[in-house]
Amino acid sequence: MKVMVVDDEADVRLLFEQRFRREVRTGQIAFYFALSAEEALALLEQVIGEVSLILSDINMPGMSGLDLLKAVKAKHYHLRVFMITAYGNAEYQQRAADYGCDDYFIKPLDFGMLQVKLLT
Amino acid sequence: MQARTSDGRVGEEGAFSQEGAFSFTILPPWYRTWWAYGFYALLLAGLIYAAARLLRRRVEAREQAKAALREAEFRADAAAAQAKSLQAENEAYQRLKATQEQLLVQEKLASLGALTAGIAHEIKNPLNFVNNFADLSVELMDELREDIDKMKAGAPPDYENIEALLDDLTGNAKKINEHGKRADGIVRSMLLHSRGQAGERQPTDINAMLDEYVNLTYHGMRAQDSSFNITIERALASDAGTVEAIPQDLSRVFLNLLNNACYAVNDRAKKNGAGFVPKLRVSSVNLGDAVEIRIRDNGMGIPPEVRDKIFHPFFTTKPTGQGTGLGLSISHDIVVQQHGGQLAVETERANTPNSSCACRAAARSSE
Repeated sequence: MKVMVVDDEADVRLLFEQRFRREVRTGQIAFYFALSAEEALALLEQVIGEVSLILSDINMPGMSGLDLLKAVKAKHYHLRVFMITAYGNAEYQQRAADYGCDDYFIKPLDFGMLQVKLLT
Repeated sequence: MQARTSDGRVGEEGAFSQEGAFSFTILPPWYRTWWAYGFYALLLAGLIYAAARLLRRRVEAREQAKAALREAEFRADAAAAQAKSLQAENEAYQRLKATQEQLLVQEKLASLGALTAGIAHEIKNPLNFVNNFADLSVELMDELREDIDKMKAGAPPDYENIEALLDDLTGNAKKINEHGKRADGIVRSMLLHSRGQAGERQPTDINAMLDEYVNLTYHGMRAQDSSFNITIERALASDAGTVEAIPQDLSRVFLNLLNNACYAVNDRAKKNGAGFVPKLRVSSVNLGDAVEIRIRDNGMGIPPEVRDKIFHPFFTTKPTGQGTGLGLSISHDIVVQQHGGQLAVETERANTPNSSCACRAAARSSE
């Protein structure tokens, strides 16, 4: 499966690549990385058939993860989107749910749980 | 008078001889002469005059003494009154000074409050990375141990994998260090910000500071108002270098200007609703002997009637309780008085869709 990770922190890429190094090595999972929601939308146009999941941070300069969620779901309803945020904010969670978010994670991210959810 | 001759011849008995007349004058004694009297008169007049003068002088002297006394009394009264008013003035001044200091502390706390949420978020991020990279390193080392165990059992060494694991471990240790320093820097800047004492000028990386405060302000606003969003454009001059600045003070200026900019766009976003794209542009330009920082937003702009007052202490356009009115006034002092720079505000077409406001701060750069 191919997953797009959207986060304005560049080091998130290293984390995912190491956490899922076995899955990446065996070809179970492949990642795309975008540093902003805008970049993610542009990238998505190129790889839309391949990506089956988007993991997005909410707080990013410019377009927020919630806006990305809304835009993605408006166009590709069946594409799964998981939100990841530093704030366990009820309002965020409600808005994410309203926009059709498939899952919601609070930082620090529990990679073990994410792994389970990704592979099942 | 009659006289006889010496020979006794007398003319006719009883006849008087021819009358002999003698004239004489009786002179008065010198002290009864007219000039003496004149002298007496003069003397008397002189004495009277002298006495009168003496008397008058005495009266005058007494009057003068009285006047001097009165004046001295008056002066004493005045001095006492002045001393009293000086004391009152001094007390008032001390009270004013204490109030001012209190307000400065309040303003500092208010801006620190605005920072706290941003700081919490900013620290949480690097700490998450530290934890994650440390966890990952443990996993990598377990894998390395597995490889060694396999080799011990007789398997051929997989050098490629071992080297990849070691590279990752080294990279992780570097990342842990990097993010640890990042958190440390944030805590340090917060401490600098809250510290009361006067700082010293030191070479300061102006772009790094500006960048850091853009992030802190952004996350601070986000934490206060989750609907807040903004497009941030950074145009930082690569040759801006360092300036001789007091970091904790200059950072307050950035924080104030950035907070104002974010507040302005957020205000407009709420009024205009969807369709409005809040923007913040932060730029630095090396002017040679100074670095110019511009913070521009596309908020409501500043109306002309307000423009002259924005640097006045206690002037605020924010609703009661939301602003101390000291942010820009303190920023002005910091830039102009402490750093010998300029703080200017520009605004275009207030309350129009294209309005923007830029604060320009220039500080002398280090030699």
